[in-house]
Amino acid sequence: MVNYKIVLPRKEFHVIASVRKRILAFLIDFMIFFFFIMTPFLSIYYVTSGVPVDKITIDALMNNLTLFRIARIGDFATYAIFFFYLVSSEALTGSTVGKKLIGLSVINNSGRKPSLFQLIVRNLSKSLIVTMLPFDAMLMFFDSRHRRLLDYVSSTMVVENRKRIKRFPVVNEL
Amino acid sequence: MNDALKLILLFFLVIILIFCSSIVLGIMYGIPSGNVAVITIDSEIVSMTDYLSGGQTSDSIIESLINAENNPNVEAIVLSINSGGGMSVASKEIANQVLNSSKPVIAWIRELGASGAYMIASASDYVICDNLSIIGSIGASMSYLEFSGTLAKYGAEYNQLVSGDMKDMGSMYRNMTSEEQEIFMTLINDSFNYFLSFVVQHRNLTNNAINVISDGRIVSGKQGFELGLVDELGSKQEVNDYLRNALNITAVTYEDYTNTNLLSEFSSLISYKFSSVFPTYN
Repeated sequence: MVNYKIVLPRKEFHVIASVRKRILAFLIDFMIFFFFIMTPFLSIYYVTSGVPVDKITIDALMNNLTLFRIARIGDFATYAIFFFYLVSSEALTGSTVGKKLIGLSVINNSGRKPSLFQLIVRNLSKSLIVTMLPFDAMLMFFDSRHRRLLDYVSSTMVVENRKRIKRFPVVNEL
Repeated sequence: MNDALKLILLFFLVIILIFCSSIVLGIMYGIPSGNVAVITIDSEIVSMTDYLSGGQTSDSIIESLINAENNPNVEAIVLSINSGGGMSVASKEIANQVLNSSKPVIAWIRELGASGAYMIASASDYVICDNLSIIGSIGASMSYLEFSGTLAKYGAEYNQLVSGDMKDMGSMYRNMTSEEQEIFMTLINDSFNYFLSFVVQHRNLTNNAINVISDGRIVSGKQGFELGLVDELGSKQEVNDYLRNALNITAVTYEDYTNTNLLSEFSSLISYKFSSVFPTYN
């Protein structure tokens, strides 16, 4: 008697990351930004630029063009480094530390690794143009793939690392 | 290379980037750490300059004052003055900026602090000069060249069509009329009256001192001290002492805030000055 094993063709599907998981991943990345990028950068920057931090008040900052310029440059530089971190980590590994811990990664609409240009576009609102983040993120709640505006523009999406497997033809149990 | 290793390498790269960029940006865009700003006024004070006529513009000195004002490290500003004055509006602009400064301004007159330069010094909170310094010259003057005699000698005639009698006043090709002279004197007296009242107001001068200085004379530092034009006779040591004792700046670190550029430095070497038809404090 000959035994036959029937192997149905299988296909892997990406699972779209939920909004909750994406926000969690972003919060982790933001903590990294705050503790490992912004704090050390500004500490060294203000010491080398000769700004007496103990004498700085909001009033002094707003009424003093020199201090305001120094603060703006520091502000921009920290976001530029965060931008570099986001783009390079997604380019190298497909995800940031926050996404890695939550189990998410970034792909393009074809399911492949996004190009550098796509990564640059999708990370603009989280770093260099942070003021547009609320408007950018709003779309995430209405889109079926939970894409931000810049995800949509750059043709990328965030998916979970685990994949859903389907076998074909689909056999329904009776 | 697995993803975790890549992220660790990236982390170190970011740390290096933070370290390097913060130091470079801090040095490039930082502010000087000295707590006493020194601004040198050592040539003719002008409103604008081309690179032939030289001089220090009021804009550049005011910019230096604002830079010192904006730096929270700066506790006092020292004006190191060695100038015979300059244009009246330029001197007034600087003097007003000195008055508006929220930080104490000390004028330290070296060899010469006359006319417009003295006006700036008088706006300071404290004036120190040497007993041999030359100060004062409170007044205004105008000057012009006249070539009418030269033209007549060579048979040339000056003709200019004007819309009004006074349109070509001050022309160097004809004699000045008494009416024109009167108008020019009004301008000079306006400048002088403003200058004198400014000095009297900010130096609290006595009537005797006003009578002495109002003829526009220059006086020595010693005479100036007796008339109340300066607060103290001395040199850099006295400036240091004043900063330490009166302003309680324990560790005095000077920082030069004078705006200089290579072209203006070069031009001051080759500069020559035309007589000006504008009222000047010099």
